[in-house]
Amino acid sequence: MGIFLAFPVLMIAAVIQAVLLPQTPLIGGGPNLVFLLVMAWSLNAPLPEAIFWAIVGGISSDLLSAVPLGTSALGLALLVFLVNILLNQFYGLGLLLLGLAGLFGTFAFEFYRLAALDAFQLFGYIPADAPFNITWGNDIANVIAPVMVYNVVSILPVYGLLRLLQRRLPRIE
Amino acid sequence: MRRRPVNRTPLLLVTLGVCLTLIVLSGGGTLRPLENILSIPLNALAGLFSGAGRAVSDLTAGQRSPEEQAQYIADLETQLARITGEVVALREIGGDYQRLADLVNYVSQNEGQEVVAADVIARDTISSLRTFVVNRGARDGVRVGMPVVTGQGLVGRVINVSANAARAQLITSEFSSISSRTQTNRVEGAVIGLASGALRMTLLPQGAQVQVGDLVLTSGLGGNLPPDIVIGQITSTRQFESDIEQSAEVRSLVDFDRLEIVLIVTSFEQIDLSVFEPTAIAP
Repeated sequence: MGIFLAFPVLMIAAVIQAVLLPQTPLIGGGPNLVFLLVMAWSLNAPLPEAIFWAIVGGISSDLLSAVPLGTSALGLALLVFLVNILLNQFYGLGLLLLGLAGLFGTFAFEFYRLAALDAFQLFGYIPADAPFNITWGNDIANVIAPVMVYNVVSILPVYGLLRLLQRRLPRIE
Repeated sequence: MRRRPVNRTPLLLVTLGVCLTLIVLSGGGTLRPLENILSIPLNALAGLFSGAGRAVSDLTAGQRSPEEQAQYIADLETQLARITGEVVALREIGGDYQRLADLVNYVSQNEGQEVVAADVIARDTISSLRTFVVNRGARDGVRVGMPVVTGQGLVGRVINVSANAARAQLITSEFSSISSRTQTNRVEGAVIGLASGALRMTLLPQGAQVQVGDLVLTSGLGGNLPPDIVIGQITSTRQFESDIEQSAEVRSLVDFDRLEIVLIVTSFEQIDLSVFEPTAIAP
């Protein structure tokens, strides 16, 4: 059931991310909603379902972005694998893991996306007439750091909402 | 919740394979048609959200400190005062434009006539006399007896002239009588002013056919006014068998209470008929 829910939830989140959040006066642009939803869902979902969420969320984000399709999906999927491994290693540390995902996961994901963008420019995957000038120090301070703060603050409420939703969904064994 | 062990390696390999294939194909442009199709629902959603986004943006943009709010209101009030003044001025210009357009229309329809445009600068302090003063006088070629008109028709006649001003009598004055005729049946009569400010066409022959709605024009008889200037329109007729004549109520198209700019027909001069009047022959 969670698989079907992925489409509307993540598509709407991606659109809100691309359309609404840039218009709000938040310093640094606001939280990464798709990232938060995928991470929060993966904490209590089977791995294949969490991977599916990562791919749908990533593709939705990429469709509204200049990066090639699959870029965000790859980053989110790798993070979901990592969370799954850690959950099995450290059982009972779910919420702590959530906080860590909000902080370090955000950093890793956003850093990966900027690095991918840089690499794609190098390989000519992004049209030369729309260049992105990535200055790492500046981008980490002004782009990644604010998103980390917003994600850490937002991940617990997002997790709470999704947990309520997950409990109401019919369980398919 | 303890999870059931899942063999992660094949899943990881499949995921990596799918994502890397997507990246390579998308980067190469092969997936462009698929991306366009997948973008349709997202773009539709984006369209829906953008309106809401603008509303949110406007709402948040309006958040100001009390000092900023006070300054903002003061600025708005200043702007409002300025714009109100501009609106008043523009309405005046619009009104003047309409009046001038009417006058130009009159001039273009009466090319043989020479006219002088004049501003109404005063009205008679005794309103029942129904006269007004314009800012053109003898220096501008204005003479006593010249007709005063607007685009809507006859207004009155000049009765006094000074060097730079002239007084004219409205056709609605009780002392005004104008030789006239109906446009369709050419029935002749005289339009007189009434105490109420209305116009009445009198001296119409008893058997003449006078139609409601017909236009009343100056006839030119008597030489006091040029012929064929519109006076008004017949609104009703009165006919009594005991009378030897009939009369008709006439409504002028001119708004006499709002006269601001008028035309004085300077090419017309009253004809002196006194020479034809009978005089006593000396024995």
